[in-house]
Amino acid sequence: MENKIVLQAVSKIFNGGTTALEKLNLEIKPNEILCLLGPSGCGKSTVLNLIAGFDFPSYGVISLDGKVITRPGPDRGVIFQEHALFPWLTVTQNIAFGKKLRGGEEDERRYHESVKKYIDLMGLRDFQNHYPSQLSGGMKQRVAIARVLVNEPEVMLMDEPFAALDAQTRLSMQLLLLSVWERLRTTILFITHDIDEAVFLGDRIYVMTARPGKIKALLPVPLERPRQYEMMISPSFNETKAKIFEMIKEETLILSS
Amino acid sequence: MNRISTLLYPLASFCGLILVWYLVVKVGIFQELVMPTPWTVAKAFYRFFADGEFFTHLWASFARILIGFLVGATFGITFGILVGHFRFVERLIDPLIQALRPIPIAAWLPLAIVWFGIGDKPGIFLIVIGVFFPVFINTVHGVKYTPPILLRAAHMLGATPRRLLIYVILPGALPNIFTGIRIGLGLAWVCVVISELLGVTAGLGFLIWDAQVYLQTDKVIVGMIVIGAMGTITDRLLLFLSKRMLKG
Repeated sequence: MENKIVLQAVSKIFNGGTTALEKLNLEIKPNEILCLLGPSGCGKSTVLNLIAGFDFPSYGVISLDGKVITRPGPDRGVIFQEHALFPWLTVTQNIAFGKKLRGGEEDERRYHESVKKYIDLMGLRDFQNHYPSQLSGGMKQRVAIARVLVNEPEVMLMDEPFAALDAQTRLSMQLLLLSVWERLRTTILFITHDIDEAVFLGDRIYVMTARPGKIKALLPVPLERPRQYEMMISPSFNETKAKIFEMIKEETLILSS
Repeated sequence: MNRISTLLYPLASFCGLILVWYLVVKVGIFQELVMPTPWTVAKAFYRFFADGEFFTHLWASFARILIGFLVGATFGITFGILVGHFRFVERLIDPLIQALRPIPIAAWLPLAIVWFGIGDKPGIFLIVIGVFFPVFINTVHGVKYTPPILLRAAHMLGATPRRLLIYVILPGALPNIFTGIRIGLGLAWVCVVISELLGVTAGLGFLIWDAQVYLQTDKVIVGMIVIGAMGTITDRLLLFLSKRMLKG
Protein backbone atom coordinates (compact mmCIF):
# COMPACT_ATOMS: atom_id res chain seq x y z
CA MET A 1 0.00 0.00 0.00
CA GLU A 2 1.06 3.59 -0.71
CA ASN A 3 2.20 5.59 2.26
CA LYS A 4 -0.17 8.24 3.59
CA ILE A 5 2.49 10.66 4.70
CA VAL A 6 6.15 10.71 3.70
CA LEU A 7 8.97 12.83 5.11
CA GLN A 8 12.08 12.73 2.93
CA ALA A 9 15.40 13.97 4.32
CA VAL A 10 13.63 16.68 6.29
CA SER A 11 15.82 19.15 8.19
CA LYS A 12 14.65 22.03 10.29
CA ILE A 13 16.98 24.78 11.37
CA PHE A 14 15.38 27.49 13.48
CA ASN A 15 16.17 31.17 13.08
CA GLY A 16 18.47 31.13 16.07
CA GLY A 17 20.61 28.51 14.30
CA THR A 18 19.43 25.51 16.33
CA THR A 19 19.14 22.38 14.26
CA ALA A 20 15.96 20.70 15.46
CA LEU A 21 15.76 17.96 12.85
CA GLU A 22 18.47 16.51 10.64
CA LYS A 23 17.68 14.55 7.48
CA LEU A 24 14.74 12.84 9.03
CA ASN A 25 12.90 10.14 7.09
CA LEU A 26 9.50 8.96 8.21
CA GLU A 27 6.55 7.18 6.64
CA ILE A 28 3.00 6.83 7.90
CA LYS A 29 0.95 4.02 6.38
CA PRO A 30 -2.77 4.33 5.80
CA ASN A 31 -4.99 3.34 8.73
CA GLU A 32 -2.17 2.72 11.17
CA ILE A 33 -1.42 4.29 14.52
CA LEU A 34 2.17 5.41 14.25
CA CYS A 35 3.86 6.50 17.46
CA LEU A 36 6.75 8.91 17.52
CA LEU A 37 8.69 8.47 20.72
CA GLY A 38 11.67 10.35 22.03
CA PRO A 39 13.25 12.23 24.90
CA SER A 40 11.95 15.71 25.59
CA GLY A 41 13.44 18.40 23.39
CA CYS A 42 14.24 15.96 20.58
CA GLY A 43 12.02 17.69 18.03
CA LYS A 44 8.94 15.44 18.13
CA SER A 45 6.57 18.38 18.14
CA THR A 46 8.55 20.01 15.32
CA VAL A 47 7.82 16.97 13.16
CA LEU A 48 4.12 17.34 13.90
CA ASN A 49 4.12 21.09 13.24
CA LEU A 50 5.75 20.51 9.86
CA ILE A 51 3.21 17.86 8.84
CA ALA A 52 0.38 20.09 10.09
CA GLY A 53 1.73 22.92 7.94
CA PHE A 54 2.23 25.34 10.85
CA ASP A 55 5.91 25.54 9.93
CA PHE A 56 8.05 24.67 6.93
CA PRO A 57 11.06 22.39 6.61
CA SER A 58 14.40 24.06 5.89
CA TYR A 59 15.34 21.16 3.64
CA GLY A 60 13.50 18.10 2.40
CA VAL A 61 9.97 17.34 1.36
CA ILE A 62 6.79 16.39 3.23
CA SER A 63 3.86 14.99 1.32
CA LEU A 64 0.35 13.72 1.96
CA ASP A 65 -0.90 11.19 -0.59
CA GLY A 66 1.95 12.26 -2.84
CA LYS A 67 1.09 15.97 -2.68
CA VAL A 68 3.53 18.39 -1.05
CA ILE A 69 2.19 20.04 2.11
CA THR A 70 2.16 23.83 1.92
CA ARG A 71 -0.24 24.97 4.64
CA PRO A 72 -2.54 23.78 7.44
CA GLY A 73 -5.85 22.21 6.52
CA PRO A 74 -8.70 20.07 7.79
CA ASP A 75 -7.28 16.99 6.03
CA ARG A 76 -4.66 16.94 8.80
CA GLY A 77 -6.54 17.35 12.06
CA VAL A 78 -4.40 18.28 15.04
CA ILE A 79 -4.98 17.40 18.70
CA PHE A 80 -2.85 19.80 20.71
CA GLN A 81 -1.27 19.10 24.08
CA GLU A 82 -3.44 21.83 25.54
CA HIS A 83 -7.02 21.45 24.39
CA ALA A 84 -7.18 24.63 22.22
CA LEU A 85 -10.98 24.77 22.27
CA PHE A 86 -12.73 28.08 21.63
CA PRO A 87 -13.83 29.22 25.11
CA TRP A 88 -16.85 31.21 23.91
CA LEU A 89 -18.41 28.22 22.11
CA THR A 90 -20.30 25.28 23.59
CA VAL A 91 -19.17 21.69 23.04
CA THR A 92 -21.49 21.26 20.06
CA GLN A 93 -20.52 24.62 18.57
CA ASN A 94 -16.83 23.80 18.96
CA ILE A 95 -17.25 20.49 17.17
CA ALA A 96 -19.27 22.06 14.34
CA PHE A 97 -16.96 25.10 14.07
CA GLY A 98 -14.84 23.76 11.19
CA LYS A 99 -17.65 24.14 8.65
CA LYS A 100 -18.31 27.69 9.81
CA LEU A 101 -14.63 28.65 9.56
CA ARG A 102 -14.30 27.22 6.06
CA GLY A 103 -17.66 28.54 4.90
CA GLY A 104 -17.92 24.90 3.97
CA GLU A 105 -19.93 23.48 1.12
CA GLU A 106 -20.89 20.45 3.19
CA ASP A 107 -24.59 19.76 3.26
CA GLU A 108 -26.01 21.39 6.40
CA ARG A 109 -28.15 18.45 7.48
CA ARG A 110 -25.55 15.80 6.83
CA TYR A 111 -22.93 17.81 8.68
CA HIS A 112 -25.26 18.27 11.62
CA GLU A 113 -25.88 14.53 11.76
CA SER A 114 -22.15 13.94 11.57
CA VAL A 115 -21.58 16.33 14.50
CA LYS A 116 -24.14 14.38 16.52
CA LYS A 117 -22.50 11.09 15.59
CA TYR A 118 -19.11 12.19 16.93
CA ILE A 119 -20.66 13.67 20.07
CA ASP A 120 -22.09 10.23 20.77
CA LEU A 121 -18.95 8.41 19.73
CA MET A 122 -16.80 10.45 22.11
CA GLY A 123 -19.32 10.11 24.95
CA LEU A 124 -20.15 13.81 25.07
CA ARG A 125 -23.93 13.62 24.86
CA ASP A 126 -24.48 14.93 28.40
CA PHE A 127 -22.08 17.83 27.84
CA GLN A 128 -23.30 19.21 24.50
CA ASN A 129 -24.24 22.62 25.87
CA HIS A 130 -21.33 22.98 28.28
CA TYR A 131 -18.62 25.54 27.75
CA PRO A 132 -14.96 24.37 27.79
CA SER A 133 -14.36 26.02 31.16
CA GLN A 134 -16.98 23.70 32.65
CA LEU A 135 -15.22 20.53 31.45
CA SER A 136 -12.44 18.41 32.95
CA GLY A 137 -9.16 17.95 31.09
CA GLY A 138 -10.17 14.56 29.70
CA MET A 139 -13.53 15.86 28.49
CA LYS A 140 -11.85 18.78 26.74
CA GLN A 141 -9.61 16.41 24.81
CA ARG A 142 -12.65 14.36 23.80
CA VAL A 143 -14.16 17.50 22.32
CA ALA A 144 -10.88 18.29 20.57
CA ILE A 145 -10.84 14.79 19.02
CA ALA A 146 -14.49 15.01 17.94
CA ARG A 147 -13.84 18.43 16.41
CA VAL A 148 -11.11 16.92 14.23
CA LEU A 149 -12.88 13.65 13.34
CA VAL A 150 -16.02 15.40 12.12
CA ASN A 151 -13.97 16.77 9.22
CA GLU A 152 -13.05 13.22 8.22
CA PRO A 153 -9.31 13.95 8.08
CA GLU A 154 -6.81 11.90 6.09
CA VAL A 155 -4.65 11.78 9.19
CA MET A 156 -5.05 12.79 12.81
CA LEU A 157 -1.94 14.34 14.34
CA MET A 158 -1.82 14.02 18.12
CA ASP A 159 0.81 15.96 20.08
CA GLU A 160 1.13 14.35 23.51
CA PRO A 161 -2.63 14.76 23.87
CA PHE A 162 -2.94 12.91 27.18
CA ALA A 163 0.29 14.09 28.85
CA ALA A 164 -1.48 16.63 31.05
CA LEU A 165 -4.06 14.14 32.36
CA ASP A 166 -3.90 12.07 35.55
CA ALA A 167 -2.98 8.39 35.17
CA GLN A 168 -6.52 7.02 35.35
CA THR A 169 -8.01 9.53 32.93
CA ARG A 170 -5.07 8.93 30.60
CA LEU A 171 -5.76 5.19 30.54
CA SER A 172 -9.46 5.68 29.88
CA MET A 173 -8.66 8.13 27.08
CA GLN A 174 -6.22 5.63 25.54
CA LEU A 175 -8.93 2.96 25.62
CA LEU A 176 -11.48 5.37 24.14
CA LEU A 177 -9.07 6.36 21.35
CA LEU A 178 -8.43 2.68 20.56
CA SER A 179 -12.13 1.85 20.39
CA VAL A 180 -12.82 4.87 18.15
CA TRP A 181 -9.90 3.86 15.94
CA GLU A 182 -11.23 0.29 15.70
CA ARG A 183 -14.42 1.74 14.21
CA LEU A 184 -13.02 4.45 11.94
CA ARG A 185 -9.46 3.30 11.19
CA THR A 186 -8.32 6.90 10.86
CA THR A 187 -4.59 7.17 10.24
CA ILE A 188 -2.98 8.54 13.40
CA LEU A 189 0.40 10.04 14.19
CA PHE A 190 0.71 9.88 17.95
CA ILE A 191 3.53 11.76 19.61
CA THR A 192 4.51 10.82 23.14
CA HIS A 193 7.42 10.50 25.52
CA ASP A 194 5.61 7.77 27.45
CA ILE A 195 6.95 4.34 26.41
CA ASP A 196 3.94 2.44 27.77
CA GLU A 197 1.59 4.66 25.84
CA ALA A 198 3.52 4.22 22.60
CA VAL A 199 3.61 0.42 22.88
CA PHE A 200 -0.02 0.15 23.96
CA LEU A 201 -1.40 2.31 21.15
CA GLY A 202 0.99 1.97 18.24
CA ASP A 203 1.24 -0.40 15.29
CA ARG A 204 4.78 0.82 14.77
CA ILE A 205 7.03 3.05 16.83
CA TYR A 206 9.66 5.46 15.57
CA VAL A 207 12.21 6.18 18.27
CA MET A 208 13.97 9.51 17.89
CA THR A 209 17.49 10.50 18.89
CA ALA A 210 18.35 13.47 21.04
CA ARG A 211 18.75 16.82 19.29
CA PRO A 212 19.33 17.21 16.43
CA GLY A 213 16.41 14.85 15.94
CA LYS A 214 16.84 11.85 13.69
CA ILE A 215 15.13 8.48 13.59
CA LYS A 216 17.09 6.05 15.71
CA ALA A 217 14.98 2.97 15.12
CA LEU A 218 11.68 1.71 13.80
CA LEU A 219 9.98 -1.02 15.82
CA PRO A 220 6.84 -2.92 14.96
CA VAL A 221 4.69 -3.60 18.01
CA PRO A 222 4.06 -7.34 18.33
CA LEU A 223 0.62 -7.00 19.93
CA GLU A 224 -2.61 -7.94 18.21
CA ARG A 225 -5.65 -5.80 17.65
CA PRO A 226 -7.99 -5.00 19.20
CA ARG A 227 -5.73 -4.05 22.07
CA GLN A 228 -6.83 -5.06 25.53
CA TYR A 229 -5.82 -3.49 28.80
CA GLU A 230 -4.38 -6.85 29.96
CA MET A 231 -1.79 -6.76 27.18
CA MET A 232 0.09 -4.15 29.18
CA ILE A 233 1.38 -6.92 31.44
CA SER A 234 2.12 -9.47 28.71
CA PRO A 235 5.70 -10.64 28.03
CA SER A 236 5.84 -9.23 24.49
CA PHE A 237 4.70 -5.84 25.77
CA ASN A 238 7.49 -5.82 28.31
CA GLU A 239 10.10 -7.02 25.83
CA THR A 240 9.26 -4.19 23.44
CA LYS A 241 9.28 -1.76 26.30
CA ALA A 242 12.68 -2.95 27.49
CA LYS A 243 14.15 -2.61 24.00
CA ILE A 244 12.92 0.96 23.70
CA PHE A 245 14.02 1.78 27.20
CA GLU A 246 17.60 0.82 26.35
CA MET A 247 17.59 3.08 23.30
CA ILE A 248 16.16 6.03 25.14
CA LYS A 249 18.61 5.59 27.98
CA GLU A 250 21.53 5.89 25.56
CA GLU A 251 20.03 9.08 24.21
CA THR A 252 19.48 10.56 27.63
CA LEU A 253 23.10 9.82 28.50
CA ILE A 254 24.24 11.66 25.38
CA LEU A 255 22.13 14.62 26.40
CA SER A 256 23.47 14.81 29.92
CA SER A 257 27.14 14.34 28.99
CA MET B 1 -23.49 36.42 59.06
CA ASN B 2 -21.95 36.89 55.64
CA ARG B 3 -25.03 38.49 54.13
CA ILE B 4 -25.43 40.83 57.06
CA SER B 5 -21.80 41.94 56.90
CA THR B 6 -21.86 42.54 53.13
CA LEU B 7 -24.72 44.95 53.71
CA LEU B 8 -23.80 46.33 57.08
CA TYR B 9 -20.14 47.13 56.52
CA PRO B 10 -20.62 49.45 53.53
CA LEU B 11 -23.55 51.07 55.32
CA ALA B 12 -21.32 51.73 58.32
CA SER B 13 -18.70 53.51 56.19
CA PHE B 14 -21.38 55.69 54.55
CA CYS B 15 -22.83 56.62 57.94
CA GLY B 16 -19.31 57.30 59.20
CA LEU B 17 -18.64 59.70 56.33
CA ILE B 18 -21.91 61.57 56.94
CA LEU B 19 -21.12 61.79 60.65
CA VAL B 20 -17.63 63.20 60.02
CA TRP B 21 -19.13 65.64 57.50
CA TYR B 22 -21.70 66.76 60.06
CA LEU B 23 -19.08 67.21 62.77
CA VAL B 24 -16.74 69.16 60.50
CA VAL B 25 -19.50 71.69 59.86
CA LYS B 26 -20.76 71.77 63.46
CA VAL B 27 -17.32 72.20 65.01
CA GLY B 28 -16.82 75.09 62.61
CA ILE B 29 -13.85 73.96 60.54
CA PHE B 30 -15.90 75.10 57.53
CA GLN B 31 -18.57 77.77 57.61
CA GLU B 32 -22.04 76.51 56.71
CA LEU B 33 -22.01 78.77 53.66
CA VAL B 34 -19.12 76.89 52.02
CA MET B 35 -19.96 73.49 53.44
CA PRO B 36 -23.65 72.75 54.06
CA THR B 37 -24.73 70.12 56.59
CA PRO B 38 -25.95 66.73 55.37
CA TRP B 39 -29.44 67.79 56.31
CA THR B 40 -29.36 70.93 54.11
CA VAL B 41 -28.12 68.79 51.23
CA ALA B 42 -30.93 66.30 51.81
CA LYS B 43 -33.47 69.11 51.61
CA ALA B 44 -31.86 70.46 48.44
CA PHE B 45 -32.02 66.95 47.05
CA TYR B 46 -35.74 66.81 47.65
CA ARG B 47 -36.38 70.21 46.02
CA PHE B 48 -34.21 69.23 43.09
CA PHE B 49 -36.30 66.15 42.36
CA ALA B 50 -39.64 67.68 43.24
CA ASP B 51 -39.56 70.60 40.79
CA GLY B 52 -38.46 68.48 37.83
CA GLU B 53 -35.16 70.38 37.40
CA PHE B 54 -33.35 67.14 37.90
CA PHE B 55 -34.71 65.50 34.77
CA THR B 56 -33.92 68.46 32.52
CA HIS B 57 -30.28 68.43 33.58
CA LEU B 58 -29.97 64.67 33.65
CA TRP B 59 -31.39 64.31 30.16
CA ALA B 60 -29.22 67.10 28.73
CA SER B 61 -26.04 65.41 29.96
CA PHE B 62 -27.23 61.92 29.19
CA ALA B 63 -28.11 62.74 25.57
CA ARG B 64 -24.62 64.20 25.00
CA ILE B 65 -23.01 61.16 26.54
CA LEU B 66 -25.13 58.74 24.54
CA ILE B 67 -24.26 60.31 21.19
CA GLY B 68 -20.59 60.94 22.04
CA PHE B 69 -20.16 57.49 23.52
CA LEU B 70 -21.71 55.68 20.55
CA VAL B 71 -19.65 57.64 18.02
CA GLY B 72 -16.41 57.39 20.03
CA ALA B 73 -16.82 53.66 20.69
CA THR B 74 -17.67 52.95 17.04
CA PHE B 75 -14.55 54.77 15.86
CA GLY B 76 -12.45 53.18 18.59
CA ILE B 77 -13.55 49.64 17.74
CA THR B 78 -13.26 50.13 13.97
CA PHE B 79 -9.80 51.67 14.05
CA GLY B 80 -8.76 49.23 16.78
CA ILE B 81 -9.63 46.25 14.59
CA LEU B 82 -7.88 47.73 11.55
CA VAL B 83 -4.71 48.64 13.46
CA GLY B 84 -4.67 45.39 15.44
CA HIS B 85 -5.22 43.13 12.45
CA PHE B 86 -3.47 44.77 9.50
CA ARG B 87 0.23 45.46 9.81
CA PHE B 88 0.23 48.19 7.16
CA VAL B 89 -2.63 50.09 8.84
CA GLU B 90 -0.74 49.85 12.11
CA ARG B 91 2.38 51.34 10.51
CA LEU B 92 0.28 53.99 8.82
CA ILE B 93 -1.85 55.43 11.60
CA ASP B 94 -0.81 54.02 14.96
CA PRO B 95 2.06 56.52 15.46
CA LEU B 96 -0.35 59.37 14.73
CA ILE B 97 -2.90 58.12 17.24
CA GLN B 98 -0.20 57.55 19.86
CA ALA B 99 1.02 61.12 19.34
CA LEU B 100 -2.45 62.58 19.92
CA ARG B 101 -3.22 60.38 22.91
CA PRO B 102 -1.19 62.22 25.61
CA ILE B 103 -3.11 65.47 25.03
CA PRO B 104 -5.42 65.85 28.07
CA ILE B 105 -9.10 65.82 27.10
CA ALA B 106 -9.73 69.21 28.73
CA ALA B 107 -7.11 70.77 26.43
CA TRP B 108 -9.38 70.04 23.45
CA LEU B 109 -12.19 72.22 24.83
CA PRO B 110 -11.04 75.67 23.64
CA LEU B 111 -10.55 74.42 20.11
CA ALA B 112 -13.84 72.51 20.25
CA ILE B 113 -15.71 75.69 21.09
CA VAL B 114 -14.02 77.57 18.27
CA TRP B 115 -14.90 74.78 15.85
CA PHE B 116 -18.42 73.98 16.95
CA GLY B 117 -19.61 77.13 18.69
CA ILE B 118 -21.76 76.98 21.80
CA GLY B 119 -24.36 74.28 22.49
CA ASP B 120 -24.16 70.49 22.57
CA LYS B 121 -21.54 69.95 19.91
CA PRO B 122 -18.28 70.83 21.72
CA GLY B 123 -19.27 68.54 24.61
CA ILE B 124 -20.13 65.70 22.27
CA PHE B 125 -16.81 66.19 20.49
CA LEU B 126 -14.96 66.00 23.80
CA ILE B 127 -16.78 62.81 24.75
CA VAL B 128 -16.00 61.25 21.37
CA ILE B 129 -12.30 61.89 21.96
CA GLY B 130 -12.44 60.74 25.57
CA VAL B 131 -14.16 57.47 24.65
CA PHE B 132 -12.14 56.81 21.50
CA PHE B 133 -8.69 56.31 23.04
CA PRO B 134 -9.37 53.68 25.72
CA VAL B 135 -11.67 51.73 23.36
CA PHE B 136 -9.08 51.92 20.58
CA ILE B 137 -6.15 50.82 22.72
CA ASN B 138 -7.97 47.89 24.30
CA THR B 139 -9.40 46.74 20.97
CA VAL B 140 -5.94 46.77 19.38
CA HIS B 141 -4.60 44.73 22.26
CA GLY B 142 -7.43 42.19 22.09
CA VAL B 143 -7.20 41.77 18.32
CA LYS B 144 -3.41 41.54 18.27
CA TYR B 145 -2.97 39.05 21.06
CA THR B 146 -5.35 36.25 20.17
CA PRO B 147 -3.83 33.15 21.83
CA PRO B 148 -1.55 31.58 19.15
CA ILE B 149 -2.93 28.13 19.96
CA LEU B 150 -6.45 29.26 18.94
CA LEU B 151 -5.10 30.69 15.69
CA ARG B 152 -3.40 27.37 14.97
CA ALA B 153 -6.57 25.46 15.77
CA ALA B 154 -8.54 27.70 13.39
CA HIS B 155 -5.96 27.32 10.60
CA MET B 156 -5.98 23.57 11.13
CA LEU B 157 -9.77 23.57 10.71
CA GLY B 158 -9.30 25.36 7.39
CA ALA B 159 -10.34 28.92 8.31
CA THR B 160 -10.39 31.48 5.50
CA PRO B 161 -8.71 34.82 6.42
CA ARG B 162 -12.01 36.72 6.57
CA ARG B 163 -13.76 34.08 8.66
CA LEU B 164 -10.74 33.85 10.95
CA LEU B 165 -11.17 37.56 11.74
CA ILE B 166 -14.94 37.43 12.20
CA TYR B 167 -15.34 34.14 14.05
CA VAL B 168 -12.09 33.80 16.01
CA ILE B 169 -10.15 37.04 16.41
CA LEU B 170 -13.12 39.32 17.15
CA PRO B 171 -14.91 37.04 19.63
CA GLY B 172 -11.54 36.47 21.31
CA ALA B 173 -11.05 40.24 21.58
CA LEU B 174 -14.50 40.94 23.02
CA PRO B 175 -13.45 40.89 26.70
CA ASN B 176 -10.76 43.48 25.94
CA ILE B 177 -13.15 45.58 23.87
CA PHE B 178 -15.59 45.62 26.79
CA THR B 179 -12.84 46.70 29.16
CA GLY B 180 -12.10 49.62 26.83
CA ILE B 181 -15.77 50.52 26.61
CA ARG B 182 -16.11 50.54 30.40
CA ILE B 183 -13.11 52.84 30.83
CA GLY B 184 -14.48 54.99 27.99
CA LEU B 185 -17.89 55.32 29.59
CA GLY B 186 -16.30 56.45 32.86
CA LEU B 187 -14.31 59.06 30.93
CA ALA B 188 -17.47 60.18 29.12
CA TRP B 189 -18.87 61.39 32.46
CA VAL B 190 -15.65 63.28 33.13
CA CYS B 191 -15.83 64.87 29.66
CA VAL B 192 -19.43 65.90 29.99
CA VAL B 193 -18.81 67.72 33.28
CA ILE B 194 -15.77 69.53 31.87
CA SER B 195 -17.55 70.53 28.66
CA GLU B 196 -20.59 71.89 30.48
CA LEU B 197 -18.40 74.51 32.08
CA LEU B 198 -18.90 76.65 28.97
CA GLY B 199 -21.55 77.40 26.40
CA VAL B 200 -24.53 75.38 27.67
CA THR B 201 -27.57 76.12 29.83
CA ALA B 202 -28.49 72.62 30.95
CA GLY B 203 -26.71 69.51 32.17
CA LEU B 204 -25.47 68.08 35.44
CA GLY B 205 -22.08 69.70 34.86
CA PHE B 206 -23.73 73.04 34.09
CA LEU B 207 -25.78 72.64 37.27
CA ILE B 208 -22.77 72.38 39.56
CA TRP B 209 -20.75 75.10 37.83
CA ASP B 210 -23.78 77.40 37.89
CA ALA B 211 -24.62 76.68 41.53
CA GLN B 212 -20.99 77.33 42.47
CA VAL B 213 -21.18 80.84 41.05
CA TYR B 214 -24.08 81.57 43.42
CA LEU B 215 -22.38 79.74 46.27
CA GLN B 216 -25.22 77.21 46.42
CA THR B 217 -22.93 74.56 47.79
CA ASP B 218 -25.82 72.29 48.74
CA LYS B 219 -26.81 72.16 45.10
CA VAL B 220 -23.23 71.50 44.03
CA ILE B 221 -23.09 68.50 46.31
CA VAL B 222 -26.45 67.22 45.08
CA GLY B 223 -25.15 67.46 41.51
CA MET B 224 -21.97 65.61 42.44
CA ILE B 225 -23.92 62.82 44.08
CA VAL B 226 -26.21 62.46 41.06
CA ILE B 227 -23.24 62.39 38.65
CA GLY B 228 -21.56 59.75 40.79
CA ALA B 229 -24.73 57.69 40.98
CA MET B 230 -25.33 57.89 37.24
CA GLY B 231 -21.74 56.88 36.56
CA THR B 232 -22.15 53.86 38.80
CA ILE B 233 -25.50 52.88 37.31
CA THR B 234 -24.33 53.09 33.69
CA ASP B 235 -21.15 51.17 34.58
CA ARG B 236 -23.14 48.39 36.27
CA LEU B 237 -25.49 48.25 33.31
CA LEU B 238 -22.55 47.80 30.95
CA LEU B 239 -21.03 45.16 33.20
CA PHE B 240 -24.33 43.30 33.26
CA LEU B 241 -24.57 43.46 29.47
CA SER B 242 -21.01 42.25 28.97
CA LYS B 243 -21.56 39.32 31.32
CA ARG B 244 -24.65 38.32 29.36
CA MET B 245 -22.71 38.52 26.11
CA LEU B 246 -19.48 36.87 27.24
CA LYS B 247 -20.68 33.45 28.30
CA GLY B 248 -18.41 30.48 28.88
